[in-house]
Amino acid sequence: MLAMAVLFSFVVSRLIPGDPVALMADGQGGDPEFVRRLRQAAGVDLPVWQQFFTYGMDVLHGNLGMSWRYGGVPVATLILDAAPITFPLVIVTMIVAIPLGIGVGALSAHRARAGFDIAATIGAMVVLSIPPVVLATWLMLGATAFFGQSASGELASFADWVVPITALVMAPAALIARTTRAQVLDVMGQDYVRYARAKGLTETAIFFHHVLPNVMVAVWAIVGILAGAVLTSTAVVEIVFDLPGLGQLAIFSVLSRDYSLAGVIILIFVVFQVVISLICDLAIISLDPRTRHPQDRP
Amino acid sequence: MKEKVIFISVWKAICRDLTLLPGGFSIWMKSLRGAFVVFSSPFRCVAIALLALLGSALPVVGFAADGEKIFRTNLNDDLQTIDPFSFTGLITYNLLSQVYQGFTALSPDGRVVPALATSWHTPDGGWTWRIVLRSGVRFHSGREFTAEDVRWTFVQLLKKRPQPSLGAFELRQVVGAQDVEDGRTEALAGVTVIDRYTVDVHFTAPDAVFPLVPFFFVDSGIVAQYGPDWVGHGSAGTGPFRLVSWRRNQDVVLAAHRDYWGGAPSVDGVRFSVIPHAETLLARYNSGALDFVVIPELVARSILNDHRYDAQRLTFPRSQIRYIGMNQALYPPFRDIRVREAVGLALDRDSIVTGLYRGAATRMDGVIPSDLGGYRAGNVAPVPYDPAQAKRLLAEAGYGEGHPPPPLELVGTDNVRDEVTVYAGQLSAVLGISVGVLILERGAQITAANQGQLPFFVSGWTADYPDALTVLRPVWYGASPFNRSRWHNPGFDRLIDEAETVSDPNQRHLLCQEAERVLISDRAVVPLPVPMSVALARPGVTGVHVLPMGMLDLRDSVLP
Repeated sequence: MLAMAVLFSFVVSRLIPGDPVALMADGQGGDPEFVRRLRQAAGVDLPVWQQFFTYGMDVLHGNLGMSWRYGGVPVATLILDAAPITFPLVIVTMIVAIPLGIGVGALSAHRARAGFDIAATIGAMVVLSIPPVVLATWLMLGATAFFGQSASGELASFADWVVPITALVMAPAALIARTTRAQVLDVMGQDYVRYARAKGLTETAIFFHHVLPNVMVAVWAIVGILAGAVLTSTAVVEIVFDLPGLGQLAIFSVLSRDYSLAGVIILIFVVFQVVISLICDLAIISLDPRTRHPQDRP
Repeated sequence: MKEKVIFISVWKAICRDLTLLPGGFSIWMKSLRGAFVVFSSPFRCVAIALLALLGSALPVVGFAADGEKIFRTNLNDDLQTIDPFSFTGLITYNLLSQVYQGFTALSPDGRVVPALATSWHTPDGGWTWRIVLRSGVRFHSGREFTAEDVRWTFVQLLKKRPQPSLGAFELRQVVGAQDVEDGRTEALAGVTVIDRYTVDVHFTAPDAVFPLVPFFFVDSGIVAQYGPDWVGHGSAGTGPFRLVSWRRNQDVVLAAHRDYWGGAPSVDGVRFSVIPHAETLLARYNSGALDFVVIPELVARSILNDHRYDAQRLTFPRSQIRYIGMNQALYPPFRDIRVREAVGLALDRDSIVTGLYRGAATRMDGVIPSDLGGYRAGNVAPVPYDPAQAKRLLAEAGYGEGHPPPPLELVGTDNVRDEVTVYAGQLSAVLGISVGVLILERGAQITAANQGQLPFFVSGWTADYPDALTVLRPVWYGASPFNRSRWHNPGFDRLIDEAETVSDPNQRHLLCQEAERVLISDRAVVPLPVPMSVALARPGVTGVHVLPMGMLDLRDSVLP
C-alpha cells in the first residue's frame, strides 16, 4: 500500500501541469541559464523515470529529500516542524468527537422523535451539509466579531485551540452521532433485547450490557475512516486559522509543485490512515468475538 | 441526571473495551479516565468553556511586553529562505530588502537613489564600472561595510550551490566569474578593490545597468562569527532592520538597526505574519492584531468597494505591466495587423480603471511603467475605445458581417478573472468573435505561456530593476524564453541589443523608447491597466510606503 502511495503521489504530481522552477522564480527570471541551473538543482532536468527511481530509492533509504519551495531545506525538517501542530489537532478532535458523537447519538435514540432527537438530527444534517471551509471561515469570523479572537497563527494558549477544534470536531461528531443513533435503534429491536426485557432487566442494564457493545462495533468502523478524514480536513482549518501544520504545508507544496514535499506528506497521511484502521480493527475484534474466528461463522 | 449516567457509562464502555488492547493503550486510557473525572460534571464543562471564551476575548496585545513598538504587518505567502545567496522569489526578495541593501535603492516614487554606493561611472561604455561606496555604513554586527564586503559577496553568490539566486546571474559577465563558479579559484579577477570605499568591476561584455542590479551585500565577517551555517543565527546586512527570527509558515521578526546609516527607524521592530488566506488576514486586521496589511489582489476590489475602510485605505502605483498577448503562429487571424489593432480598439480600458478598480489602477498605452527609467509620457499614441473603427478594420481584414474569425479563448489566472471576463465580453460584443474565458491555475498558466502554447492570453511582468530594459528584454526580445506571444521583430531586437551596451542612461532610454514605439506600432501587444497595490493602515499608522516593486518602506513608519 505504501509503495502504491509513493507511486500514486509521484505520478499525479508529475501529471499536473506547472513548472516548479518557473514558480520558484515567481514566473519571471529573465536568464535562461538561471532557469537551467534551477532545474538542475531541483532535479527536474532528468527523465521522469529517472526522477522516480531516484525518489523511490531515497524514500526507501529514509532520505525524504530536499524541498525546492524552501530553498533546499530537508523535507524531514519541514515535517518535524509542522507535525506538532497537525497531530495534536487530530488527536484532540477525535478525543472530543467520539464521546460527544456517541453521547448525542445515544440520547437521540433514547428519546427518538422527541425534541432533543429532532434538534440533534437537524443540527447534524446542517453541519454535514456545510462545506468544511465555509464552516471554518464562519467560526473564525464569528470568533473575531464576538470575542475579538482572530486566528492568531499559533496554538500557544488554550483559547487558540478552542475555535479550530470546534471547526474540526463538528463534522465527525455529527457523523458518529447519526451512526450511533441508527445502530442503537436497530439493536433495540433485536430479539436478544426483547429477551433481556422479558428476563426483567432494567432499561439501563439492557442498554449498557446488550445494546452499547453491539453499537460500538459500527462506531469503531466509522472512527477508522473519520480519523483519516479529520487529518486531511486539517488542511482547511490550518489555512483558515493560519496554523503552520502539515495540511497547510501540503497545499503550499502542491501549489508550488514541490514534488518531494508533497509526496512525503501524502505518504504520511497514508501511513496514518493505515495505522488508525489497524487500531480500529483491533478494537472491533476486542468488541465482537465473531470477528476473531470468522471461519467458525455459519 | 439520566443523561449524565448514560454519558459516563458510554465512556466507561469505551475505556473498558480499549483496555483489552495491547499494554500501552491501558495506560493511555487510564489517563483519559483521569481526565474524564475533571470533565464529568456538566457544570464544570460549562465553566471551562466559559473560561476558554473569556481567554479568547482578551484584547490582542499590540506591543511587546516591555513597551517596545512593534510594527505588525503581513506576508501573503511564506519566504523560501532567509539566505541572501540563494533566494529566487519576489516575496523573499521584498522581505530581505529590509535587511540587506545594494548599490542603489528606490525612493517611494520609484526613482533610483544611492544606497551603499554614493556614485558610479563607467569610463569605457560599460566594460568597467567604478563604484564609490558610502563610508561609515555599519553592518548589524557593528562592523563597517567596505569594498572587501562587495568582493566577498560576489564570490559567495557565484559559489552558491545547489540553488543559486538571481544575483549570481547578474555577475556572469564579470571577468573571472566562470572560474569562481567552476570552483577553480576564489579570487574574482574582475573585481578590483581600489581602496576601502572604491571598487572597480570589469566585464567581458558591456553591462549598462550593473549599478541598478539589486544585490544584497553581506557582512564578510559573518562566517568567522557564526561559522558556515550562519544563516538563521546571525543578521548580516546593512538595512534598517536586522533579522531576529523566521518561523516557517508563521512569521518573520525584525528589529530596528539603531546604527542604520540613513537614521534609525522610528519603530523598534517589525513582525511579518504569514497569512495566505484573505479572510483570515482581514479578520486579524479587523481585530486589531495587525497595524498595516497589503491586500492580496484577489480581494483588493472588494476592499476598494467597502466604505468601512475608506479612512484606512491606501493605494500605491506598481512597477508592473499587464498585457494581452496574441500568438500569431497559433491563431492565424492575428497575422493581420488590422485584426490585432481591432482587438485594441474594441477594449474599453478606461471603464476597467473607473468601474472595476474605482480609479485605483493606472491606464497604460505603452509597455514601460511610468516609474521606470526610460518612460516618456506620450512616447506612444493612446489607443482609444473605438468600436466602429474596430469593426471597420476587422471587415477590411476579411472578417466582416457573417464571416467572423474562428472562436478563441482568452486565458488568464485567478487574480485577473474579472478583467478577463470583461475583456472577453467586450471583444465578443464589438467584434462579433466568440471569445471564451479560460482561467488556469497560476503554475499551469505560467508553464503554458512560457512554452508559447497560448494563442490569446492576459499576462504580466514585474520590474526587477528600475530601467525599461527589465521589461522590454525578457517579454518581447525574440529569443527570450519569456516572450510568451512569440512575437519577433529584428528591428526591435537590434534596439534592445544596442541598449544593453549603452551605459549612458539618457541614450539607453532613447533606444528603449524607440523599441517601445516599434512594439506598439506593430500592434504586437494590447497594454492593459495595472491595478495599484491596496493596503489598509490602522488609524494613527503613518509613514509606510509600498514601493512600486512591492517592497514595504518602513523606515519612517510611525505607530500610534
